Amino acid sequence: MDPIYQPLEDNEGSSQNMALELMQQSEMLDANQVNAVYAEKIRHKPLLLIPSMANKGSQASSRDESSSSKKKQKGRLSHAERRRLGLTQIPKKMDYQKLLQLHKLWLGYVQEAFTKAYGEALLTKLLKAEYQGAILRVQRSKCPSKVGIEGICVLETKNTFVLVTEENRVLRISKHDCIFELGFELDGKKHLFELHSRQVVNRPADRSSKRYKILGSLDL
Amino acid sequence: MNKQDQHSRMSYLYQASMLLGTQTDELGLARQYASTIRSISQKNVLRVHPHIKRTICKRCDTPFVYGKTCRVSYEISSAKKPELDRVLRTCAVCGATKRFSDRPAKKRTKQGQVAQAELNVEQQHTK
Repeated sequence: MDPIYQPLEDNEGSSQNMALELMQQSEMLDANQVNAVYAEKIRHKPLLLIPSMANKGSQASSRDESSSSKKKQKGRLSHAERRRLGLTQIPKKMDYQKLLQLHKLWLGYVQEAFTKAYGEALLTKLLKAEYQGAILRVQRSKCPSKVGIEGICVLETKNTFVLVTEENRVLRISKHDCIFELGFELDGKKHLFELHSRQVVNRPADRSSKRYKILGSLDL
Repeated sequence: MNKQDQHSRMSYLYQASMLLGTQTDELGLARQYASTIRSISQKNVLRVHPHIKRTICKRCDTPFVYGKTCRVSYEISSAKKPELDRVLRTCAVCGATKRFSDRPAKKRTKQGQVAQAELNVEQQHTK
């Protein structure tokens, strides 16, 4: 028994369906007709309380739904959606040993990109090169605590480098007022380059199409 | 010129993104590299091969690693026409879908013979 709903005491033998009872009271139908109509048309049909839901299967509404959802899906994600999906977060600890594989790949890229490049051409190529995967070291900086930090650059943004040190620490270092060291071996020769912050404060993709002037040195 | 450098840069980034996607769990980084590829190609007006573009999610830039970053299933649209069945690939991160059909390629010969080629294709299926 339902604790909330309790039937009225007047119900004497209303084991029959309400619809059937009403139909039997009508003067237009016989008893046979009543049963036939009830069995065919009324018995198994659900009673819709919210009429608009009946239109859910109809063509027009489903077309509208699918077109609007298609539009949303095909586009790129908005910034709010990216944040909601958690796509803008970087873990606080990363495995340095696994990232050495990435560095190895970067060395291969460097071999390919910087062969047969000397002097100024090499420098311009370096400014437009890819640093994600390289081992960067902070050589000089306005902030003394940053000096000496070394790690695999795992992400480059407009203003920062994200480095992973050997102790698996993930550090986000501002590009401003810092001079980074980039060292690699090419054709048996060891190269060491200094990246001055003013030249390099840019998104990685923007760096590739920018023309470079020789700017003054930094006051550190 | 400059373009060759950016090409090798994009190629390295693509390999790096795939490496991170398959060997590590750092999908956030893999995604960043893939989106850098997209920005470089836009800034320098460089074309990326469609085979490469199809392995990166168009919506969220996640590299597709079957089983890990995407789900692949088979869609049967109608029982009568098996040639309309599609392979459906869903990005596990953002839900973007892509359908691939394996329709036989129609041979486009001379103008009058295109119709004949289509007929042949139909006949093959009814057999």
